[in-house]
Amino acid sequence: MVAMTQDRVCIGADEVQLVTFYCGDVLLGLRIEQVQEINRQTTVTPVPEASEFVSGAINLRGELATVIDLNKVLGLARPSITKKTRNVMVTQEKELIGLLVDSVSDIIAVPVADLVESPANVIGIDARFFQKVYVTADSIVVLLELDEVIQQNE
Amino acid sequence: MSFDDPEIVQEFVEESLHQLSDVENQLLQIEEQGADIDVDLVNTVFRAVHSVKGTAGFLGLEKIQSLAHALETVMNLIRNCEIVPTGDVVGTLLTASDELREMIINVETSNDADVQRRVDELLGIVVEKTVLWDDPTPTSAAENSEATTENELADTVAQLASDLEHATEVSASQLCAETKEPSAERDGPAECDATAECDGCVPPTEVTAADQDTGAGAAASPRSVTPASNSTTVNPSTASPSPVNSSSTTDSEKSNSTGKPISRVVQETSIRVPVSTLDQLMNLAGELVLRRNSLIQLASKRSDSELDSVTAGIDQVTSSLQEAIMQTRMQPINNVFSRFPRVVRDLCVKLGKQCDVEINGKGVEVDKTILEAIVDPLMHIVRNAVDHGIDPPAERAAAGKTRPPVVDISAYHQAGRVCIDVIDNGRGIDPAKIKEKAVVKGVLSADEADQMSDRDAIRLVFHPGFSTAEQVTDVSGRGVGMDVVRANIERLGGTVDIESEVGEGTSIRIVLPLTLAIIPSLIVISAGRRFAIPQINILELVRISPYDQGKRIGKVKNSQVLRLRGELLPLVRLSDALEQPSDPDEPDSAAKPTSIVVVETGVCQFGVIVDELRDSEEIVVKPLGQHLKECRSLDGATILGDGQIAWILNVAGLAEKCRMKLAQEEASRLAESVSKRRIDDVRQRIVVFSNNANDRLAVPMDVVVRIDRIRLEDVEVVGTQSYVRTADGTLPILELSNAIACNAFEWQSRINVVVFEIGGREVGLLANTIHDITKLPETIDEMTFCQDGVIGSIVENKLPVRLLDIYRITRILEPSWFENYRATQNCRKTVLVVEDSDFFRRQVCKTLRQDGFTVVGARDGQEAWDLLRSQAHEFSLVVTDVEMPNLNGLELCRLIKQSDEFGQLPVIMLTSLGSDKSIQLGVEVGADEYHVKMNQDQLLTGVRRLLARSSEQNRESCESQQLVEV
Repeated sequence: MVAMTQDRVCIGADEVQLVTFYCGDVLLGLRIEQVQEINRQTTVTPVPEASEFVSGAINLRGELATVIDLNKVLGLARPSITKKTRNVMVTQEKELIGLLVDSVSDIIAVPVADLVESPANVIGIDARFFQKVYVTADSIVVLLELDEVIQQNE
Repeated sequence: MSFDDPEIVQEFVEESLHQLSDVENQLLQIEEQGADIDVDLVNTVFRAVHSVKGTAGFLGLEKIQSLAHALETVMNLIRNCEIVPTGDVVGTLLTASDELREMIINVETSNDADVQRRVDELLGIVVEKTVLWDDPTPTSAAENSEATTENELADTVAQLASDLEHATEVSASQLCAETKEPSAERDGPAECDATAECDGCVPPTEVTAADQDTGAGAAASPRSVTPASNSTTVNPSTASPSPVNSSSTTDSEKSNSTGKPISRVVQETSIRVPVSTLDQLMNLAGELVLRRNSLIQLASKRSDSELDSVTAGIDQVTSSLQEAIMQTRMQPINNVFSRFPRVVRDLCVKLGKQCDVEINGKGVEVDKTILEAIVDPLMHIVRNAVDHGIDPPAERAAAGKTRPPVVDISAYHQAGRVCIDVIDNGRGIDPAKIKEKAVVKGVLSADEADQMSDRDAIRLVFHPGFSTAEQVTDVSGRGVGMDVVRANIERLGGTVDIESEVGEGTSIRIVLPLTLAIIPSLIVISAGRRFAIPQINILELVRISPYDQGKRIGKVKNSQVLRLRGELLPLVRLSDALEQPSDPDEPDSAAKPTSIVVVETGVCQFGVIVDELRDSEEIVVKPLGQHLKECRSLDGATILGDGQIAWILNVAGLAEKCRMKLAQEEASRLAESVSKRRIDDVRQRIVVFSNNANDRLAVPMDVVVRIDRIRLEDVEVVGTQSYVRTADGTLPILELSNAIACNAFEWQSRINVVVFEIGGREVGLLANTIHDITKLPETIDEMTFCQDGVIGSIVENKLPVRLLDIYRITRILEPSWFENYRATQNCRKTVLVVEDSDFFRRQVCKTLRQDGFTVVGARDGQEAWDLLRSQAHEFSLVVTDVEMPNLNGLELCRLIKQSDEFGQLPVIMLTSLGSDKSIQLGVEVGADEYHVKMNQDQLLTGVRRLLARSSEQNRESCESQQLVEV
């Protein structure tokens, strides 16, 4: 069933596409239209006086983008930056923001109906950071509440 | 109602609506916080209303003004914790602010609106405050308990409404709105009476019955409608009764035009482009610059001449493009200044005063964003000047003031910045009064007030919540303003300072960057990271060798200070201030010279220690993202040529952060020593250097073009003349020991060359050590080292220092350069030198005499004028100082130029301030030329030029006379 939905090229009106990525052992997802791009620009310029969630800033083709350490926001330990570390770029109120994640997993199409209300405490992350979960045969994708994640840093 | 200047009114409408746009939410937030007031939030609302009031006042929008004034009064009480912003208070405020907004939208008819009831209501709060304090009215308590019932009713009503006809839905939605928003009914007994007449505002228990009635009533009214389905989600802020709901049908018809912009057909030669488009262009141009830089780098590696020429072309076009885009943002400051004559006139009429406005520098161009941001602060300053500064006629007469009252507003460029001065000759600010007030208001303790200098005391006007007006007027109010003025100006990266003399007047100077988009900045390195410090904040750069560190950098308790020209300057290490992790690659700093950037904000100066100084660059500013707004020490970011990010430092933020670290007493003591440095220090600066172990020499800073550091190999000796090879050719070196009695130069591997320009050529003077740049002391010994080429001597650090006359020395060593000077000067002419300082007068006289002129000296303008009128001499030219007792240089010049007798007499002004402002003043009174003191070469060139011109004119006039005679 899962394989079938992944293979489908056309996305039905009742489906959403999710970009999935890992922070620690947690598989997270964002709706694809929320993500502008994913890049390997993990060397950041540190920002003095910024909150601990801000890992720095990058120059993305002439635009200044703040990079947020998603692990820290979610209260997970930050493993060292590896070859797999990625920046998931999102746009929030016309501002470019990067989310530093441990690795990017996949893009999956999910029937809206299969997105379910999450149990109270899935994986030890504060419940306000996610809206829903999508349960597959072998994993759980946690749909991130982007607004909450970004506001956490202000 | 018609307006003299519809554009100003339109601007008022746009500006006010913008200012009021957030008020609603802010008021709701205030309500939420209740007695636990967020003063900043209250202040924000207060200021918004205050601005509206002020501008409305000038435009003659009385009703808007009176409503705003009432609103402001209530906000002031809330701010002072005299009223708790309970639901009914905020409800009234919300209603009033809605009404205010409506009136502004319909500005043309606003004066016909009836605001008296709302004003009375607001003032009612003020009157009741003593009675109602801590004691909620029975009405509101009752209403609160009914709130839940209301919500239930709301649902019923919504249900009913959906069954009704289209037009009926209007009132239903209104009803829902009313019932969902309890505050609408909480306006106290007076409000209940008033609103009972309006549809929808009926006691909740009668809702069902009222629904039928109003439904029928509303069906007849031709209003546009809101679908009832919205009513259940209607938000409380829009639900509060707006004037449309609570006023009569005629009013509601009027409000149909609501939101329609006042359309006017104006033929324009220019088009309006959104600033965002310009910003985008600017950004793209900035990008292009970066790409160009990479291209140049790449091309330089290839050594391909074709590629090089293409690159050069792109380089040129890119620069021009960037400049042109910059130009699109520039607007003449007159766009703002032109409002002031009217503003001042109206104010004067209102206050029963008389006052003229003088405006200078209308053509000065400033970035549009800056221009817009400066309107409010400037308006406030000008209003203050008229309201508080200018004294009424009777008071002036009593004080024996003869000059007419005037507010002088001028703009000019100075050192890549724009200065705006607002100067009045009114009553001035009494520092004693300010201190007293500060103590009363709890801003200062009595001890602090005693110790505070007068100048700092006057600066207290920039403190939030400070007003000196004994009476609150509706013109410039209750001490909002100057703190906002300062905050706004600092936000622009500018500074503001105030000077005042009791009885003489007040002068406020605003210094602003030319543009916000591109700012010239110095790149520095701290803990391995690059930062940009805007040039506008930089006073000077100081480099201290490891050897001097002990002497120059001291410690006062825990804070470092720099000894700079006899004053103590607080120091901050950038990496500490920003809490940067130390850079492991950084070698031990003890062996390195310390680089200090001396910066200033409006009120304080301090030194920033950095690891390294890099180039000065024009950087493109990128705003900080939402997550970085709290970084007070950062102002933005820029992307450098190599694609790396550098943070732009906010000097004011840095100062604020670091002052907290200084112990209180130290801070005040340091601040005092810093504040002694006046804005305009009229004393000249000199460069002290030595060329061997024994001789200490100095030259005036103003004649120095630059100081180069060269290697010994770059010096070449051809015959008796030494030269330094430079990038553009060779620079002749003056061998000092050939001109004056001093020891020969001691050669070192690295040498400094002090470069001057004499007679249009550059010459250098060798120096092996540059000691300091210091102020010329008041007393100069002209006797001890009396010698041709030496002006005199001073004592610096207990050592005698000879002050050199570089012009004279060049003449002694290179007489051939000056041969044509003598030749042109075939007749002896008499020059009048006017200067109050004996030293400078003697100096100028000597220089001119050495050139063959007859010279007569005068100590001040009055003496000079008397001399001129006595006709004891036939003067060909006047050289005068600016600042002098009795009659100053400007007045003397004006007298000369306005007289029939001497109108043709050339006048040269001398000053130690080479600023555009003083030059402008000089030009205004008719001075022919303007030179910096102690630059003899310039002075002599100017004298010769003017004399040659006037003799030519004489000849011409003689010839024409002869022709007439023939």
